[in-house]
Amino acid sequence: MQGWRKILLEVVSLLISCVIAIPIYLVIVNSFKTGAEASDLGLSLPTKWSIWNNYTDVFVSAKIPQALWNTTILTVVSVFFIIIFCSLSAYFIQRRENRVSKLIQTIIIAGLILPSSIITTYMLMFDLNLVRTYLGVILLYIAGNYAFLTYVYIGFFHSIPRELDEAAIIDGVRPYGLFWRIIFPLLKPVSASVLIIAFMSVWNDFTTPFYFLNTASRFTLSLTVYFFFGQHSSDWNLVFADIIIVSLPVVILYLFLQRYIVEGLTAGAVKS
Amino acid sequence: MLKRQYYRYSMLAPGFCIFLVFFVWPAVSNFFYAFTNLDATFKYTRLVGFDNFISIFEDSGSSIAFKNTFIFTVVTTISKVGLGFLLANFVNIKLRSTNFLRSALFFPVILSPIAVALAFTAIFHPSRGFLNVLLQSVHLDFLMQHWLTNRHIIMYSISFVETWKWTGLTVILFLAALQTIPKELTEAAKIDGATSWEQKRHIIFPLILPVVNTNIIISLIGGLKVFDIVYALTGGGPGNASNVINTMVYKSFSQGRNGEATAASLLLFVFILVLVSITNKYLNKDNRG
Repeated sequence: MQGWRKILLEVVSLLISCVIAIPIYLVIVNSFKTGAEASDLGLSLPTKWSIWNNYTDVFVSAKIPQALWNTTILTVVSVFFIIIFCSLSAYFIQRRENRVSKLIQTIIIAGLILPSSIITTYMLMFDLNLVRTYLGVILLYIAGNYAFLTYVYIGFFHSIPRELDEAAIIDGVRPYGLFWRIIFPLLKPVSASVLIIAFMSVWNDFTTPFYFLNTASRFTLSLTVYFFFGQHSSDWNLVFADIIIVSLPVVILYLFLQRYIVEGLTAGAVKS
Repeated sequence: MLKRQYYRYSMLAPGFCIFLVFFVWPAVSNFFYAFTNLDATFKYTRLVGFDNFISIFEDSGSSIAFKNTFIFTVVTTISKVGLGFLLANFVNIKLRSTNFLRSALFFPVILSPIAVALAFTAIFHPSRGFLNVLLQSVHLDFLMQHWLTNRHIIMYSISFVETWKWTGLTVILFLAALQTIPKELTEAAKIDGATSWEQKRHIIFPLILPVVNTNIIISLIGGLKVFDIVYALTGGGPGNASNVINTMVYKSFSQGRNGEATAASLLLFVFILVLVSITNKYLNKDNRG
């Protein structure tokens, strides 16, 4: 490629990066400013840094510790059960190969495009006394992520040879021993993908807690940031600090598991 | 025999039962309740036929919601898939900044939609927001807008945010597909004298058609059932100007008109089914006669 053309492409690349980077930079830099300065919503560096004040202020006034705890519990428990239930189901569906497993696979594929029906879900939760409970929301997260993530696992099981199962069976392993001691460790890469995808979808979710945890003591981070903005819409420095706090855990996880998220999403979506 | 012993129904059951009860059952029962006068306490006294649907279509707020959902879905699907395809080809070129750009493009996908929406309320701020300040500084004052209150452009502003957040996903799906195309194919075409456009049109495009299909379907579904980004950016307002189907469902629900809310949910389901089947019919090779 000619030199000038390469330089031109590098410039284009940089400009595209700016479209992504500017909103993120804007949030970060303004979360460090004093309230008066942040209200300009500018891109300049703060003249007076107010990092500690902003973040401690948000921690208290947006009730972050409680929300952080709620979100963590919901996310960790949901993701844990999503990994176990989806991998086990996929194992059955891919290995058993009878009429039932074929039917179930069809139902799961239909579930990939089906939207959730929020009102009838609310009704069900209401009848089961699960509205405003962690248990209820965790069950909804498992159900809501089940189709796609089971599908991702099914795709991966094709790459684990059956001969492995057969060899272990000849060695006298028990059914659950075969899964937990021999198969499950082999799923590590796909489980890492499922972990980050499920973590993101639960951690960032707004709609489910908005409908089902609508009481201040059970608010998740997504809800606090939304309601905090409603009450403090002119305190941009605090709103931005709140946004950073909400985003940080996912960003950190992403930095560690970046490779797996791309692999998982492409494996699940490209094959379909 | 061994299969029955080793791959047990008890392995399938826990996840699948939760899925059936908490996902499939609400979807199925929705078909029934859409035809009842379900009230705020989730009781119904009779079947009302198509009354819920009629009152949805007679309400002017609802018809705006359908129109908006349609605009939003079409605009975001075109922009996410179109831009995604262009950008995937772009980051497939070896440049110094390629790796950085790939990570940057995907970064918004991992962020909370609420966080993104609130950041953009700042960027769209009419007097101090970055967008208008930028336009003014390059003397394009006439393009300055009240991005989130002008009812003629509000859906396009929201579509922009959705595109900003989700294009990274279509990019990596396209990129994964592009990277599976063997170099020999395009090189052979080059030797045969195919231009760069002919290579794209006749070699690359047919090979990545399944991913085009996937990306269109993901974008259509995402567009039709959008809620969080719209709710956080505008709350459906001003008035009903940026209402979409799911904000309308929430409004009916919060006012206790659950019959109408389930009817609107059912319509959403039908739209998704119809659009996905059409896309599949035209773009999925396996289904072509």
